[in-house]
Amino acid sequence: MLSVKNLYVAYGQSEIIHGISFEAKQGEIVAIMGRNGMGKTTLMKSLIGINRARSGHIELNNEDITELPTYMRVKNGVAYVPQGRQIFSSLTVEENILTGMEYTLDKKEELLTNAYNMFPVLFDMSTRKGGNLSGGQQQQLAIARALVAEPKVLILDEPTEGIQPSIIKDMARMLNQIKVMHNLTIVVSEQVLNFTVNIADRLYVMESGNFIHEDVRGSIDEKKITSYLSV
Amino acid sequence: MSGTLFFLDIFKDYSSDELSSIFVMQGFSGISLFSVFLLMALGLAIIFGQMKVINMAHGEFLTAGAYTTVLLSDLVTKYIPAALPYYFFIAIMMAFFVAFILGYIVEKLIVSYLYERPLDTLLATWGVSMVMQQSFRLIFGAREDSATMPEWLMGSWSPTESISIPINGLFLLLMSILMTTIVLLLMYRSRWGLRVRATVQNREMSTAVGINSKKVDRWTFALGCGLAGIAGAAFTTIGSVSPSAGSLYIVDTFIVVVFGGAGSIIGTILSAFGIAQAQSILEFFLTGVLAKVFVLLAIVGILMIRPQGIVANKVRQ
Repeated sequence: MLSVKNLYVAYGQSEIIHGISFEAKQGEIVAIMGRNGMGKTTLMKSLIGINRARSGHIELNNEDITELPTYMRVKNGVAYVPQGRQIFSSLTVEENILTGMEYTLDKKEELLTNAYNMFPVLFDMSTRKGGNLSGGQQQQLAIARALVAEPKVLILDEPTEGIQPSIIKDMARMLNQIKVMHNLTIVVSEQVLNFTVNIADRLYVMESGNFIHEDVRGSIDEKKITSYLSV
Repeated sequence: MSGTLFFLDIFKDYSSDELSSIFVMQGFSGISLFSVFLLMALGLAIIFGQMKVINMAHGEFLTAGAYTTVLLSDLVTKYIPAALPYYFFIAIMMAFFVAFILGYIVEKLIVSYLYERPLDTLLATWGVSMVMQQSFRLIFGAREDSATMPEWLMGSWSPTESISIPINGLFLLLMSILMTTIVLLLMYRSRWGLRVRATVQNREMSTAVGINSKKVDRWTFALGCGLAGIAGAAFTTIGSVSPSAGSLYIVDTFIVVVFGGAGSIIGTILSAFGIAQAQSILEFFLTGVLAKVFVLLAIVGILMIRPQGIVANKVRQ
């Protein structure tokens, strides 16, 4: 499904990602763990195209999307939930969801109903400004906005950041549900281990722009990963 | 204190009946000015709101719209004089399309390469304005041209004996209300408007939900210029066109946009109305220049207290 080959990403002269390769199959959740400043967000942004690759390839269903601009990647089936959620705060909740339907507008009513069924709280708040929602509600809104694009690959950048611990559990359940329902590929970057252990089919640890550890579901070495994540 | 006395002083030669007639009539002459200001400022405001580009050539798009109207009126007078009463509606649409297409070309060839460089866009669009002005001079000559107005636009309407209101002012008012409504509907009820508002909020994120922000920029720029074209068509009903006609309006338009709160449509409407009315009513009692001085002083004073303009966008980010 999504395949990253020898990806290098740099801001000007300073190289952040030093040749990362990984694959995420259909219906699989891949978690990328790492401390702050290790390049997780840079990697996520280069998958959606906000950061350009210096070299290497990103392929979606064997199609090279490395050179495509961001909006074309969305058209090809990549959706993005950024760090800090970045919902459109002066747009209403419903308008926020509608912005995600750039290429699926013909199914507007159906998608909107699905989104509201999945996140009932958004239905209750549909006419409120996005900026007036709580952090957890904004996170749901950002995920709803990404899902209505009917993506094949969903990219989530630190979804638990700034979210109450009680809601983090709900979110893990929700991501598993989304994966099964839509048979989606999900790539998620995280720092919270007990969140990713519950959802990841595969798990990578990132340090200074490289993957230094890989585990698959069932054999996740929590102690070792904790030692990588501790400062 | 002395200021108050001064203002009372200029009214003392008129009876209260005369004064109310004067206010109504000057008010309506202010409305013609308001209509042109509003159509110009709407275009400038949506362009600035969308891409933070200050379009110094905006006045020339007014001129382009005005010349389109003049050309069409000449053609109609010459070949199908029977159509003269109706041609103006076609002229408005043509003025829009001519300015729209010119705007589209300018964005594609010049402005699109200069985003994120506000000073350079300022210079570049100023250059465009000079090129356009000179082109008008070469094509149409330096003398003033005017469009033949249909009969029904010429007269005036007298609800009472001392009040007479020009029909063209009423027509302009209707036109600018209609255009403002269309722009507001486009902004808040259409997919295009949703794209614009999303891009204005967060350009990076708007591309990440799939919006082609470059295309939105191009259409927004062209639409803003098209509105200036309509302002040009409107302008022909109250003045004659010369190659530099638009540049006379550009400064006032900038003041309207800044005073209204850059990027806010409602603010733009209020500010265009306030400035046009103040100028027009004061003009009757003082000279034109003095009226302008007072209006500008008032604006400077208000902007010192409220630098963000009368209506500011305040949103939690």
